[in-house]
Parts: sequence; structure tokens; C-alpha cells
Amino acid sequence: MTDRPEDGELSRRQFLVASAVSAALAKTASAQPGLPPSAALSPARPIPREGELLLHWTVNGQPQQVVIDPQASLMEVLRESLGLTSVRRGCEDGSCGSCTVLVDGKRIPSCLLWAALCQGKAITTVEGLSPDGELSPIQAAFIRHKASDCGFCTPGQVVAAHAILSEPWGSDEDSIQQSLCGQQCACGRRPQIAAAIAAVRSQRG
Amino acid sequence: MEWIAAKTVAEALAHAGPGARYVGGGLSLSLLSERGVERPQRLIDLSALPLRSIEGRQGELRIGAMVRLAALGQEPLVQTIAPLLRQVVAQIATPAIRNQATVGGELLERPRCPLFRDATNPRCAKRLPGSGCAVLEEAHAAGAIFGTSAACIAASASELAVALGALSAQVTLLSPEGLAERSLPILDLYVEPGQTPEREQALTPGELLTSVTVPVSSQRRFGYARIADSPLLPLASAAVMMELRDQQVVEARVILGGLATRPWRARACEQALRGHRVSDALVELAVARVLDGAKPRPDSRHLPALATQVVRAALRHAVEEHATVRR
Ligand SMILES: Cc1cc2nc3c(=O)[nH]c(=O)nc-3n(C[C@H](O)[C@H](O)[C@H](O)COP(=O)(O)OP(=O)(O)OC[C@H]3O[C@@H](n4cnc5c(N)ncnc54)[C@H](O)[C@@H]3O)c2cc1C
Ligand code: SF4
Repeated sequence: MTDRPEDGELSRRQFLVASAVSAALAKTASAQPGLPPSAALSPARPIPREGELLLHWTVNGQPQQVVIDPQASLMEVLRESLGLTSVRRGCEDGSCGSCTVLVDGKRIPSCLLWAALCQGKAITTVEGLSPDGELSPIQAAFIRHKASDCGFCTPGQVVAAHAILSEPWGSDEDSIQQSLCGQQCACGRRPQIAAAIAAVRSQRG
Repeated sequence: MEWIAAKTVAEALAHAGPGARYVGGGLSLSLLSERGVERPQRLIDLSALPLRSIEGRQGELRIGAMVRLAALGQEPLVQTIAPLLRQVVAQIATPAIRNQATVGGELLERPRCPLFRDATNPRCAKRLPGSGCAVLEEAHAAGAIFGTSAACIAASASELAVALGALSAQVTLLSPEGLAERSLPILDLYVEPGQTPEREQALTPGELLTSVTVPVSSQRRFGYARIADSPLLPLASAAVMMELRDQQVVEARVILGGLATRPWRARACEQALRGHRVSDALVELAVARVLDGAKPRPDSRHLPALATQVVRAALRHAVEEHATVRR
């Protein structure tokens, strides 16, 4: 919010730190398939305190228990407790798509989803799309079609594109554009993102 | 904040009380809580309740309150029985939001008035009863042009209600008091702000919305139109129904969304249609009555024009549908 500059300042700094951590941990993630990079850094406390909740869930294929504040969003838990900073803190009102993750295979904006609603669910972030360190077809297509520029929105775009491929959309250009509603790219890579989706779809026939 | 994952409807109702809120998809409630607009002390999660089915019964379609909008839009029964619903749902919010948002949550979505949704604004009678209204006092933002009061002019948000209004749907509500069930026409679920802008809906304390029932009718023709600044900012919408017999309009419903403090029946417009032979000229006669009862303000700018535009488009849509059916 513009009338509280100190907050903006703080979150930008946090963002810079978070990005650095994310880059540093990227290697760990590929070296230990399926393991959320910072699981070792912030071990889940198995016993919730008064007012906290214990979640049993699967994150990128890995069953876990994590203690959460019932007011926390899924985005906050993934970023702050599990270090999965590929899940971006973007608009925080559900309209930009940079925090899109899969919950039981369906894409949802994690900024508006209370983590408490994810009891027993399977969560997938972009790290979970290449568990063996090998790029998934849509990730490879993003690279081929240069569908990423500054990279901020890319993890959410890749997760959304992955989901779109299993949703009942038509294959024409208009359907692909509609399927991308709510996935914004400030660098203007929407055409390349749409092309990457169309390419994987046509490969699959 | 306390989190209750209710396992049964009875358990959910038993936890209702002051400060408690039901959680459908939780998208709207989490956003407003994060901003300090809503301050729930207890959240009652409805996800495990058996309110997730869509059933076609004799002469009606029954939709559970916890059906996700994406599931509603993809259900073949909906496409066959009420294609209007599918058309409207496909335009609400974004595909990712529709995966989580529920029918109950969409119908009970709070208004989008930007000064209601900004907890740093101290003057909003909807949020802080008796505090005045920054929109009316400083005329910052355009509000509704129908059903407004001296206390509040916030436009109601639900687009599903506009469609369900045209479809003559009923909602079923369950009260914690003795588990009493009642049914009412969907449009009666909404109230005008009057002197009590803090409530937009006719729900009694703790009442749970359990389902929506849509009657099936083969005689009726429907039309829908929507105008949005961007896909995410709907400004105005209209859903219409015309029942025709030998080219005569025997019954009509014209419902406006986004421009009124509740989903709005344009009754003068409906009256102009009834009893007349359907034609382009009739559509124009009806459109001329859309603004009857409107209370535009200097800040309403283009809103009256939007109201006539969406109704015209929706009526034409219904007339054309009729034309293709006849051929
Ligand atoms: C980016 C964005 C764009 C959007 N665009 C549109 C749009 O174009 N058109 C549109 O119409 N909407 C739009 N919306 C609003 C969106 O449709 C709602 O946020 C969503 O439908 C809320 O559903 P939910 O199930 O998550 O609600 P919740 O947050 O769970 O609930 C909303 C309210 O209803 C109450 N409630 C929920 N279920 C019940 C029940 N069964 N009984 C009693 N009370 C209940 C809750 O207590 C709460 O007060 C948009 C939202 C976002 C974030
Ligand atoms: S129009 Fe209503 S909701 Fe908006 S600021 Fe005024 S009182 Fe509040």
C-alpha cells in the first residue's frame, strides 16, 4: 500500500533476500529429488501450540507434517516455513498468477488459499514438475519458446501451463488466451507462453 | 483465530455464533481478513460436508453450496439443463480462482466498493456502522445507481445471483436454531442497504446456505451480457429470460448486476415486454425503461449508459436464441 512506504521497503528487502536464498537452494533441490530445499533449515515442529494447526500433507511428492498458524496463506507457508520461494509474493489479491500452485492437481492462487484448507492435500510447486531433475515437456517448451524474461512470474506461469494441458480447453488461440486469464506477465511474454502451451499440446496430439 | 474443520452439517451449525464465519473456498474471506476488513474469530471449514453434488431431479437441478465454480461450469447436466449458468460461470474471475471458489461463497461475496475494502478508510458504514460513507461524502468512486440509500451505495458483487435470478432459482438455508430449513427465491436473499448497510443478505445469524435449486423449463429463452474494464473487473451484467408462446412474450425477467446494491429486477422493463409480440422494436421499447427507478449521481458517469447497453445485448441474445430455435 502506497501510504505505508516502510512496509513496501521491508517487503522488497525480504524479497531480495528470498530470491537469493532461492537461487542458492536451487542446486540442493535438484540434488535431492522431491525434497523441499529448506526442509532441513526449518524443521517442522510436530507439536502445535495453542491456536496452531498440524497439517499432514504432501509437498512435491514428499509426505510431511507442518505446524501452521490458521491465518497463514498457503503461499506464506510454502515460502516462509518451507523455503519454496518459487511461489512468488505478487499482487496478493489473486489476479496476477505468480503464486499459482497445484492442489491435488488443480491450479489455485496460493496467496488467497488458507493453508489450513490443505489438510491431507498434495501440493505441487514448479520444483515438483521435474522431480528427477529432468525438465518436463512444458518447462522445455518455455525455454525453447523464450517464454520467460525477468523470470519473476515464470514459476507460476509454468505451473499454470502444466495445469492447462490437462484442463478441457479447446486448442484454438482464443481458448489458450482464455485459459491464461489471471496469469499476468509484466514483461509481455504472453504470446511466447501461449506458443509453448500450443506446442506441447500439438506434440501430444 | 480458531479453525474448525466441520465433519457434519450439524457440527458446522453448532459452532456458529458471534465472530464465527463459514469458509467455502475461503478466497474472499482470506483476502478481507488479511486486509483487516473482516475480523473472524472462528472459521468453520465446510469442505468435508456433503454439499458438493449436482443432481438433476424431476423438473429441477439441485446444486450444493460447496460445488466449485469450475465443477459447475464443466458439469454436462448444467450444459443441458441451464446453459446460461455455464456461460456466466465461465466468465467469473479466473480459471484458477474457479477451481477453489464455491457456489455459496460466490453468492455471498461482499461488495467490491474500494473504500469498504480499504480498512484504512475510517468512514464506511458497512464496515463501521454509523461512521458515514467516504464515497458519498467525497464522491471518490462510482457506486450503484439502483437501490442505493443515504447511507451506502456499494454495488453487490455476485454475478451468479444475476444468472440464477433470471433462472428463477431458489436457495435453501439451514438455521442453527432447531435446524430449521427454509427456501426462498434467490433474489430475496439480498437486501438493500437502507439504514443498515452492514448487511447485504437476508441470512439470519449463523444461517448456512446449503443448496440452490434451478427449475427446468423448455419454454424459456435466456440471454446474458457483461461489460468489464478488464476480465477481472466486471462493471455491469444483465441476464434476461423470456417465455414465449406463439411469438408472444408471456413472461419476462430482466436482472441487472454490478449497478445495484442487490441483483436488480428491472420491473418496468419486464412489464414493457409482457404481452407483446417479440421483435427488435419491442427490445428497444423495453430498453427505454431500464433506467426507471435509477438514482444516478454526478459521479455515476457512464453507468446509466452501461445499464441500457447490457440489457439490450442480453435481450437481443435471447431473441436470437429464439430465432435459431424456431428455424
Ligand atoms: C482476482 C479476482 C477476480 C474476481 N472476479 C470476479 C468476477 O469477475 N465476477 C465475480 O462474480 N466474482 C469475482 N471475484 C470474486 C470471487 O468470485 C469470489 O472471491 C469467490 O467466488 C468467493 O468464493 P469462496 O468460496 O472462496 O468464498 P468464501 O471466501 O469462502 O466466502 C465468501 C463469504 O460467504 C460466506 N459463505 C461461504 N459459503 C457459505 C455458506 N455455504 N453458507 C453461508 N455463508 C457462506 C463466508 O462466510 C464469506 O462471508 C473475483 C475475485 C478475485 C480474487
Ligand atoms: S458506499 Fe457503502 S461500502 Fe462503500 S464506503 Fe460508502 S458505506 Fe462503505
